[in-house]
Amino acid sequence: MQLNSPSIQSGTPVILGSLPDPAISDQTCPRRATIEIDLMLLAIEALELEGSEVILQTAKYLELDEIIKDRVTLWRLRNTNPLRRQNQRRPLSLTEAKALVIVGCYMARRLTVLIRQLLLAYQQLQEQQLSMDHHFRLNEYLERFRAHFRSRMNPRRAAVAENYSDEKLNQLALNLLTELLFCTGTHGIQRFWFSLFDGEVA
Amino acid sequence: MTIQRLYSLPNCTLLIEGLGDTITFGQGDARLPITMVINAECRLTGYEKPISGGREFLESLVAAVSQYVQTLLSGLSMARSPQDGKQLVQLERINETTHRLNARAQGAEATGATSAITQVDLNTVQLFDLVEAIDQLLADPQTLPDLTLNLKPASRREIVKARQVGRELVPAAIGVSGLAAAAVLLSLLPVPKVEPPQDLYPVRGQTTAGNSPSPTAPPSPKPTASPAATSPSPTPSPDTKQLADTLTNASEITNAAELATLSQQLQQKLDQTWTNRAAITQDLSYQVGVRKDGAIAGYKPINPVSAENASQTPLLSLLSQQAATSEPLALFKVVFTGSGNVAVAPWQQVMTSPVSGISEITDTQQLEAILPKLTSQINQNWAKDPTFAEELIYKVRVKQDGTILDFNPENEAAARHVQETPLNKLAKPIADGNTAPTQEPVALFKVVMRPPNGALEVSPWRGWQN
Repeated sequence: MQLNSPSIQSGTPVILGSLPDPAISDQTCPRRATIEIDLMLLAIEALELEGSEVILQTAKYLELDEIIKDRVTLWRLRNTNPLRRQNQRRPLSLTEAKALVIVGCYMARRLTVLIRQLLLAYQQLQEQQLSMDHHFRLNEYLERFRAHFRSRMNPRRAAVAENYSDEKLNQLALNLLTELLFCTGTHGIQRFWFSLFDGEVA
Repeated sequence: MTIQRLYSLPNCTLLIEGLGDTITFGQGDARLPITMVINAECRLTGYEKPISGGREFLESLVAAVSQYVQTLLSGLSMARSPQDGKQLVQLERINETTHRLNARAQGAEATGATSAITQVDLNTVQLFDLVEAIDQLLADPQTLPDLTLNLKPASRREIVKARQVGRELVPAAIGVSGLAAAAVLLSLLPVPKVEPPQDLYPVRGQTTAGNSPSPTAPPSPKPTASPAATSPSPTPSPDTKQLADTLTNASEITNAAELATLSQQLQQKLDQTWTNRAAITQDLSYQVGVRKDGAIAGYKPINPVSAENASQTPLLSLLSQQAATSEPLALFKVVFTGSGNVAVAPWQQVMTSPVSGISEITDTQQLEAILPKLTSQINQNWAKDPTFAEELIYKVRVKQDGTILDFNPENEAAARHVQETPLNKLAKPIADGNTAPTQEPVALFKVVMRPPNGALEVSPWRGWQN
C-alpha cells in the first residue's frame, strides 16, 4: 500500500518517517537542537569506547548510511554545533538531524542497563553526600566526558567557557545521562525529537 | 466482562481495567481491545498505596508525565504546564534526581479535603519506569486505541510565558542554559512587528492623489463596519446582547499566570468541541469572557461576519449555564480561522499591541479618506514653531470620522518633544496597558514630523495594501 504513497520519496529511508517535521520556518535545525544532538552523541561516546565507530556501524545497520556516509560526513554533521572548535557554519537539515537522533537513541537503548546503573549510583552518592569519584564506573564516564568536551568545544564561546570547570561539566554529563535514559523508552526517540524544538515553533 | 492489562516495569506497574468493545465479541480467544476504562492503577515501588482513578486520571497522568519529560529533555519549562490545580496529576522537580508527583483523587475538590492528595517522590530511574509503562500502554493498539502519544514542541510563546511568569524553572543546567535563554530572547526579538519598508514614505504623492477622488468613496463601506460591535445582526441567537453585556459589566482577571492557564484551557476546550471545522470559510473573531474555573461566561462577536456565523462555532454550546454573576472574568480574543484553527490570546495583550488591534480599518479607500483629515488637523494646530532637530515618529489611532483617539511616540525624540506638537493638544497618549477595546473601528497611522519646520509625512501604519 505504501508503494503508492507520494510522501515516501525514493532515497529517503523509511525509518525517518517516525519523526514528523516540526512547524519551523526553514527546514533546518535550530541552534539549540544542533548543540543538544551533538552533546547527546558526545555522552554516548563517553559511555562506550570506540563510540564514533559504533555510530557509523549503527547508521549502516539502520540503513541511514546514505545520510551518515562515513567518518568525514559524521564529523561535518556534528560540527554544525556552533560550540565546536571546528564549527562548520552550515545548517543541519531536518533529515540529517533525524538520522543522528535515531542513531543516537538506538545506541542509548543498547546501553540502557549501564545508563540505569550509573543514574542509580549517582542518586545513591547524592543521598550519602559522597563525591562522584566514589563510584568507579560513574567517575570514568564523567572523566571521559570532560575530556571529550574540552578537546572538541571552543573555549572562546561563552557557553563553553562558563561550563569549563570539572563541576559544571560533571553536571552537564549527568544531565545528559538523564536525557539518554529517557531516549531509551518505547517513545523515547519521539520525546527527544520534539523536545529539540521547544520554543522554536510559532 | 472486564479485561485487565498490566504494564510492568521494575519500579512501576500500571494496571488498566476496562471493558471491551462488544461488537468485536465472538472472535474466540482473540485479545479484545479495551475501549473503556473502569479503573487505572499505578503502583510505584516504595509506596504501598497505589494511585488510581478513572479515564480522567489516566489522561491527566499521561499528559502531565509527557509534558514533564519534555521539559526535562529540553531544559525549558513551558506555560502550558498543568500546574493550575485543575489537573488531577502534576509533576514538579525537587532537585536533580528527585521528581515529585502529586495525584488528586477525582472529585476531591468538592470535599476540599487535602488528604485526598497523594504525593510520591520519584528518582529519575523510577520516573523513567513510569514513563515507559505509559509509553507501552500508548503503543498497545489493544488497549484504549484512542489514547495516543500526543507530543508537540512548546511554542515560542509558551516558553516565553513560563519565563515571564517566573514559575519554577527546571534548571536548564545543560551547558546550553545560557544559550537557550539567549536563543529564546533572540527569537522574541522579531515578534514586535516589522513594518514593510517599501511603503514607509509614499505619502506625499498618495495624499494629494487620494485627496480629490476619495470623498465619494468612503461613505459606502461605513455603514457595514460600524454596527458591528454595538448591535448584533438579526441572525444569531437573541441572547447575544446579554452575553456581550456580561463581558462589559464584569471586572477583569489580569494575573498573567492565571491568564496563561485559562488561555490554555480555553484553547483545549475549543479544540475538542469544535467539530464542523469545514463550515467556516473565513476568520471569525470573538471577545470571550472566562470565569476563574474556566467556564465561558459570555462572548461578543467582533465583526458582523462573526455575529452571523456564531452558531458555527462551539462557543454557544460551551457557554456556562450558570446565571451571570459579578465574578471577575478573564478576557480573550478567540479567532476561528477559515483554515480550521483556533487561536486564543489574552485580550489585553492583543489590544496593547496596536498593530493587531481588532476592528482596525485596513481598507485602502477608507484609509485614503481618513488620512487628509488627520493631516489637516495636525497642520492647523501647530502652536509655535517647532524646535526639534530630529525626526519625530508617532503611531496614531484615528476614528473613522478623523477624530484622533490616541497616539504613541515611537522614538525617543518623539517622546521628548511631544509637548511641542499638535498631537499633544489633539489627543491623549496611549496609556500603558490601558488601551481599552474601542467600540468603533480605528485606523492606525504613522505620523512623521521632520525638522526644521515640522514637515508632515503620514502613512497607514501597515503601509498601503496594494
